Amino acid sequence: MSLAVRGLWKRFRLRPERGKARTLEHWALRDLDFTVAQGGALGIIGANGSGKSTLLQIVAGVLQPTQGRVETTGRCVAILNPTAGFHPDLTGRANVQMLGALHGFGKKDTAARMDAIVDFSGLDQYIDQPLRTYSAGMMIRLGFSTAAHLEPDLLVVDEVLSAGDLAFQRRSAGRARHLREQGTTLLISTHALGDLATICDRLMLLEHGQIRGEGSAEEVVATYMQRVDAEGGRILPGAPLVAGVRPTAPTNDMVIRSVTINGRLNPDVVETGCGAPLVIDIEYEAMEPVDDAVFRAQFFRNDGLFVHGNNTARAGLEVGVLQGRGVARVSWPAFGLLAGDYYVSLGIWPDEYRSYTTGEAYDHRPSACILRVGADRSAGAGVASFPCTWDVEPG
Amino acid sequence: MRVAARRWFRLLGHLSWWDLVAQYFGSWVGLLWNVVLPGVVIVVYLAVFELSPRFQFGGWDAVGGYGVNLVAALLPWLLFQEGVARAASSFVDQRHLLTQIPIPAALFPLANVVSALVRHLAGLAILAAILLGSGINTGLHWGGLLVVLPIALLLTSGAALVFASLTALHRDVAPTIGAAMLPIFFTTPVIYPAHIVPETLRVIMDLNPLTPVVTAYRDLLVTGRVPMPGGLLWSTAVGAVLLAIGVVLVRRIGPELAERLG
Repeated sequence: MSLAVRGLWKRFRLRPERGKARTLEHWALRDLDFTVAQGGALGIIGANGSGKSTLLQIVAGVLQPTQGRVETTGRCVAILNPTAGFHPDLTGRANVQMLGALHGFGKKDTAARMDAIVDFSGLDQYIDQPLRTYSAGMMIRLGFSTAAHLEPDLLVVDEVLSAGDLAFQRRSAGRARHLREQGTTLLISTHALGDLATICDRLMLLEHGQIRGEGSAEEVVATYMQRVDAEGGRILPGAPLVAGVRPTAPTNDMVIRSVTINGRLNPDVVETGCGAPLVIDIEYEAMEPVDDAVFRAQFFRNDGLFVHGNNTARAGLEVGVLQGRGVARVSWPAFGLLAGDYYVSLGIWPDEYRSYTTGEAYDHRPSACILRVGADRSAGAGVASFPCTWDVEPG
Repeated sequence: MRVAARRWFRLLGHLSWWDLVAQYFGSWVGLLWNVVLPGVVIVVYLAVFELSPRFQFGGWDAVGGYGVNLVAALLPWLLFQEGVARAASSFVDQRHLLTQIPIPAALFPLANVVSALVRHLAGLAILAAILLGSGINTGLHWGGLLVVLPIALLLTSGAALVFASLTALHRDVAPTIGAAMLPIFFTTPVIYPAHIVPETLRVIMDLNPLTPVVTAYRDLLVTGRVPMPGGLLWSTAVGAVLLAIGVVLVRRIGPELAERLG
């Protein structure tokens, strides 16, 4: 066992603004528990703010956990950010010496590795220039080369691998695999999922400071992708629909009294799955007799794309004269929108086209509700799902 | 335990070395600035005050001119002032390391003290050469520094740890210390001997733990007299209390430093 994380919690206290007494708390990590065997490599993935960097900083010993503990054996070297603790006025070479010394390596140890470090970083022309003349990419190369050649027992790398150029990324991945063969344990976080899969045998998905998945690279990346798909389509509560027709003023000859979706009265958000039935009841009240009103239901994606709509006229339904209270029901046996959030826009109109273009509705609720369709990879990708089967004949 | 202590001292050595090097890195004189700068201070003060007979060091038993008496007391003062002032902001200055590498926090202010000590030793060597050259030789009294210098270091390190920690809690501490140095300087008998100051100031000067230290330096290096042990005991006691408070503060604040400064 080279790294064991036991019941790890981390709370940040955000200092209150001047004049405000209350301190805000943020739990960055919640009850993490995992181990990495010697020579193993664990990749951490997750959205920004999911707690990846906090976890790596605690493992590196820079931050202290609020609760729980980290057990490591041997020497740990961490590269937690591109500048890696470098001093801007010292040369690249002096910085490597300093970094080695501060990580507890003797002067001779570091000196013996200097050529290999410089070679690997590809910075031989610049190594005797002060670090402030380096680009961010050059610093990353130097930082990773140094850490990777100090041959630590545990190497912690945060978000650095994906930052160098393509050639350096390849070389780094190769070096990381080499270190593993030598028995170094790796803990890596990156957004470059491809690299991660080639270096790590195991991935862990963090979400809001909790482990949401752990296992083989394919499995965890698939879970992550699904969550990203769903997350990317989120509509924040209260966000208005900016697409579609904006009625100038409802005439109120007829009004929508209530909306019931899948049996829920006036919901803010309705969660459903792709391909599940959808039933919308619009309870109306006609103040005076209204002839041939058109009921319309529309769906807009979070970015305003009009993805589906239908109305009574289009469906060939002659509504006739309506007066008093009643219910208009529209139902889909299998609603085929893919994962994401959609605005449900409902209205009652005097006719199909003219009133729609001028915006003169009897009543109109542009964002009556948010329809949240859950992720389902098997349903396909894009906007909509259709029943589909694959058949492959062996040649 | 022994391994931990060895690693601790090795890291202190590294940090002090990089502190000496990094300040003047890339300059032509480089590391030697650590000798040149105290040298210039000593030579200028001596030149101004020693070559003009109008300046008199107001003591009935004073040996040497105003210049040597001033410089002998100025060196321990500079050790204290430089060590404490730089250490006060050391956590903030070194946050690029604190947030990257797990290093015991106390080492950063202490490294500032060590590099101030190096410059202090260089200054002492230069002063010794000048004193010998001008015929002031207190002989074995120099050995007294083996007792007085550690007391000066104790005071400096204690204050360094205390103010570095307090600066991490409150950014206003470091500039306050910078501003406080001038009044402290004038309540320390560096540019005038203690017995010529007015009674009210005298009380403060007697309580000032630096007073016995700078007086002892002057006694040992110029006058050729054994310092009063009572005063030095007071300095040691204050230094020990400062160091104890400093250690407690750093232990409490150290683990949170990366979070506070990051």
